[in-house]
Amino acid sequence: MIGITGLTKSYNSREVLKDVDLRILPGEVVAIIGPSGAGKSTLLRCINMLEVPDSGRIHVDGRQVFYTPNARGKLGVVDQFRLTWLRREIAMVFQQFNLWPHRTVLDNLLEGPVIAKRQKRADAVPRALEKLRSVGLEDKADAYPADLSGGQQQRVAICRALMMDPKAILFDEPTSALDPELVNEVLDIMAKLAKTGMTMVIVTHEMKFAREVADRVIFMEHGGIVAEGPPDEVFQHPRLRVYASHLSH
Amino acid sequence: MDTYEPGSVAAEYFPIFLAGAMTTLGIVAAAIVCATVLGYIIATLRLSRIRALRIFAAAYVWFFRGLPLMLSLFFFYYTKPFGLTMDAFTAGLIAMSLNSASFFSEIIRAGLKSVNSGHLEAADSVGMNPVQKFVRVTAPEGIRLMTPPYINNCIIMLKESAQISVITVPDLMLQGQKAYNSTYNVMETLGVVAAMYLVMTSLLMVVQIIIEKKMGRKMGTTKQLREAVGSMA
Repeated sequence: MIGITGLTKSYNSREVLKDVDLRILPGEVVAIIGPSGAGKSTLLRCINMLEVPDSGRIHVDGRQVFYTPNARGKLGVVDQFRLTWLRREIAMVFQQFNLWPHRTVLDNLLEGPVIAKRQKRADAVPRALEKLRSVGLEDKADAYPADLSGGQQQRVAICRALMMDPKAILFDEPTSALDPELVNEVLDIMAKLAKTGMTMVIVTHEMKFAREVADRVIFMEHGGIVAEGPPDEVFQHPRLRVYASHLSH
Repeated sequence: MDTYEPGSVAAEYFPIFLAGAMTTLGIVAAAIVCATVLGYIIATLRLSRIRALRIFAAAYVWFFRGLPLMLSLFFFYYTKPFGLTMDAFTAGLIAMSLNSASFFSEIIRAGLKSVNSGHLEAADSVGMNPVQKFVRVTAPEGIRLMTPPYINNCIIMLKESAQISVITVPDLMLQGQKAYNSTYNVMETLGVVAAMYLVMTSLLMVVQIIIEKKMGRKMGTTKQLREAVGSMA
């Protein structure tokens, strides 16, 4: 589904990703955990090229979307056409929700399919309402994002991602900006989504969620993958136990 | 010397003042359009990845923002630049447009830079191409941010347009001067002219309030902001 080889990325002279390899299988739910500054979000954002890596290779669904710059130092992203293709296949849910504040909830869901993918609005509207119903927000279709709570906004953002009929969804710390009492309503939706067989890559600090919902956990530190595997195995890793003990204080 | 009854200057010269006001409105409207287009181009050059373009745009802003409008007016009207002879209206329009473009470009640049980068990434993440991203996200959000300083600058342009009277454009100010030169009733003439300027600037303020209210409501702004905008009306 997603294949990453030898990915590196530096900001100025600070190495954020050091030669990272990662493979994500169809239908897999992968949680990426680790301390702040480990490169988790950068790795996630490289998958749909919101961040352009310095070198490495990225394949999505058999197509190459990034390769190491050539000898003349030309940028590795293949072209704008393939870039928009990639982003229509891989949806994203952001920490700060990033709903468009000047559009209603319904219009936020329709932008992707109707504007970017040029589908008929009349076909997309019933689908959008159905998605809203599935997250319990069917009565908010005509509200503006500013009228919603953070948890509601993030549920709308998940619907917006689903409207793209994506092959995978990337979650970039989806509950980190939420008040504690709103975290669960978003995690519940994500757990439900995981059961439907959606491919999900989730950067998170929610250890319990990662342990219970993920098929595989990836523990990152200092720009590299320290441990990966089934949750029960990875959570026994000594480095992760140190990290987790910091979290529980 | 004729003596004039109170109110008679206003009555006699009213059609001429009105014609002057129309000239003022016409040249200011045309200058706003030209300066906005030029200002937008300068702003995008200023944000360009190419260094030479950035420097050119910065130099433009430095040059025209730093010179008095009056100087530009004299230059285009009296020096026949590049061998071009132009009438007063054209010279005035060019000078005002070039001058105001430097201010508009800064307003537009600030507006474009203030658009929430997360909202732009969201547009990327659903696979919008650069044009779609601009039309659907950058422009609507940018316009909301730019409206107050933009209208502010339009009002300044309208008032500064009085300077074109010195190169003989028959605007409201020049008609006023003509009227008191022949009637010697400065007080009444200026009173009428002042009222007409205030009507025109008020119109622009109404436009601003309408835009802000419309966008503010759609954005679901806080109650305080809505009240603040409301109290301006």
